[in-house]
Amino acid sequence: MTISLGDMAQSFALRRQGGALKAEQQRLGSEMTTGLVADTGKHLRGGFSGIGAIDASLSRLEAYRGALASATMLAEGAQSVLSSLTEMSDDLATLFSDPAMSGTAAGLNGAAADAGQRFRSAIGLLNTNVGGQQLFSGAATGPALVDAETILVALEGATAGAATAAEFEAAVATWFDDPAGYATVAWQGEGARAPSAIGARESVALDITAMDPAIRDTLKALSMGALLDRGALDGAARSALGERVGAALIAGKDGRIDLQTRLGSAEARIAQVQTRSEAERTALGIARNDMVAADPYETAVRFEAVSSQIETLHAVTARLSKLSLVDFL
Amino acid sequence: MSLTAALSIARSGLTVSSRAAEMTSQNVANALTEGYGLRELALSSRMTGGVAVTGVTRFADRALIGDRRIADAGAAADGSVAAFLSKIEKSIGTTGAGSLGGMVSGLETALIDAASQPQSDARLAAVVSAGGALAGHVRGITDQTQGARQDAETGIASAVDEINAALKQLEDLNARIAVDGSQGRDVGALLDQRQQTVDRIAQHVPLREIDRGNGQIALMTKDGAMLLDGKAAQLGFQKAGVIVPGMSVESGALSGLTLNGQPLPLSGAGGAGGGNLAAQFAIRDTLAPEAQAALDTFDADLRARFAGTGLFTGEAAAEPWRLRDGLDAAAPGAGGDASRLNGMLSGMAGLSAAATEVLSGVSTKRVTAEAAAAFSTARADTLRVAELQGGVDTDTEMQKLLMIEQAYAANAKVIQTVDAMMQALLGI
Repeated sequence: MTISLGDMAQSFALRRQGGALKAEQQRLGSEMTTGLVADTGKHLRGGFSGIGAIDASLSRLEAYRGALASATMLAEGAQSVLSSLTEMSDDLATLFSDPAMSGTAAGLNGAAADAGQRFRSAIGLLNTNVGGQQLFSGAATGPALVDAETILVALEGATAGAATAAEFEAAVATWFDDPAGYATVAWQGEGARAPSAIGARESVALDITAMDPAIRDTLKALSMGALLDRGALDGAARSALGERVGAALIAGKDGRIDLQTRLGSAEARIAQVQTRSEAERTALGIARNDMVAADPYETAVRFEAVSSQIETLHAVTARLSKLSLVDFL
Repeated sequence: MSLTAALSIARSGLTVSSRAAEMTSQNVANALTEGYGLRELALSSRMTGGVAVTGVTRFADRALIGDRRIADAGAAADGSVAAFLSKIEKSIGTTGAGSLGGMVSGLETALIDAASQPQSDARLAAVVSAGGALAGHVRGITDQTQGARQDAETGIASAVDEINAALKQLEDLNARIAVDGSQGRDVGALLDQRQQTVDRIAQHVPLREIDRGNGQIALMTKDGAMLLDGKAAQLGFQKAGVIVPGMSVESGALSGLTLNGQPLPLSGAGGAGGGNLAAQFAIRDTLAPEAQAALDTFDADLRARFAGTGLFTGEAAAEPWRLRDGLDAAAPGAGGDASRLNGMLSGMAGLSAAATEVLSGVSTKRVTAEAAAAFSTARADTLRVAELQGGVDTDTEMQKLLMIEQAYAANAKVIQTVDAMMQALLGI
């Protein structure tokens, strides 16, 4: 039978209860404000493999977002260059194939001058730089091609002996295919670009360079027009060459469309991966939240309960401290 | 004659009342003293009439105190283990960019960025710095782990010193209690002091107190190693200077515990297991090396995955372009070649799972240890409350004081009345 109750037992018990309640209140408070459980390890019972994998995937997806943006930029840039090339080649093809234009010396000269302009702008387009990256240089970071003037001078040298349009075209074609010609004089890039990783298991090859046959064929046709402008051949041979320029431009159309199609499918793949990544991000975000989120309703209810418990404890402490026999003697 | 006897009896009542008041004031003054045993006067009637103080009774529930000591030792041990594991878990980091998993993701992110624009020197430098941050974090965890071992070592050394000093003190107190007790002096204060001293040892090693009679106690660990029996035993421990990974008791670089020169096991029969001292040994010799081994496995895995890239071997730090162009390249290459970077990226598959594994290993143990600590603390608290309930209750003391006051007044009234009777006698 207890006939007395030590003072310290009471104060010790009250102190302990107060400490435990305050710790609980602090935990619930931080859970309410952050919306996340305060002790992740305890909540997950030490098993971090699920949330670790989700965090790793989320940060990977975030990183690939940048890679996707950069790949999109490259693909879109290359696509717009290719469509400009196609457009200008089509215009010139119409011009050179029109007998009213190519039939007269003046008309031919006008078309040739136009071809000279377009050749220069084609070289400029192929040297386009998007966000610090060259579009058609492959693995190199400098411009893909040397300036138009150097190419034309080299071509003039290569075609110096040609007397007929057929010989002239053959000489130009040889120069463009010769490893010591176009590939050495004009091409400044290097190899092909490595496939860009755009997802954990996805990569897209944006490997079209200025060495591509379709681009070379287009440049070949444009350069013949530009050489006409610089006074290549005379008389009937000139107008024959003019007709050949038109024919070559028309013949190269399929190659250019193929190239655009290839690039288009790469763009489609990038867009597809982008959509999938976004969906995955959302799904993973929700899954992560399910793992570490504190139920706001439950937290609020328990916070309220703990607060009222603390108030009760304070009231009890105050009452108990007043209940001393000393005060009544 | 009987009037004189009445006077002497009343005077003994006054004396006892004064002593009782003294005792009460002593109790009230020590109402908040830890380890103070409630005192009460033992009274008996005198053969010659009147009342006499036969002694002072000190109330202490030895069985309860013994249980509380063992519970305290267990709570301290569980608390130390939980605190250690929590510290390591924090140093690894649970979630976010500062955690080990976050650092691995950071390196992966930097590699993805660099691979998408391999010509960018800034992005290659970012890979180098992310790699450096990851390696630094691993080093930081190693430092924390070895620091915890060092702390445990220091803790063991100071605990051993404290136990040895306390045992010597107890030997001395036992002797004084024997002498003072035999001479009939009040040994209450010495008993209080002895109880507090035993409590100091009890948080390190769970103890059993054995009553040797004549107010003497012997101390034995819960598992049966004798620490004090007349003579105090001497615990031995050699503190190591700086602890580095790989130092262990087996290799001879770290010291074990001895009792009077003989090895003292930390678990099993005849050992010193179950308390904070054993927990510190467990941290130093088992828990921290286990955490370190898991971390070392991860580190070796990490370095193997990046072998030949120069990322963790210093070459890339000076020349970040080597990550893109390889260690054999004579000069920076064209800049658009991401194949090596993509190779490193695919080589990282599963690395974040390995990082998470390191964390989960520690975290699982931490959660278990905290649950155990919460349980043993609750048990120790319950026993402590039970022990404190037997302590000083000021209300009871005040009640006693009221009675003492009444008794004193009554005895004084007796003297006054006897005086009046004597006066009446003298006035005849």
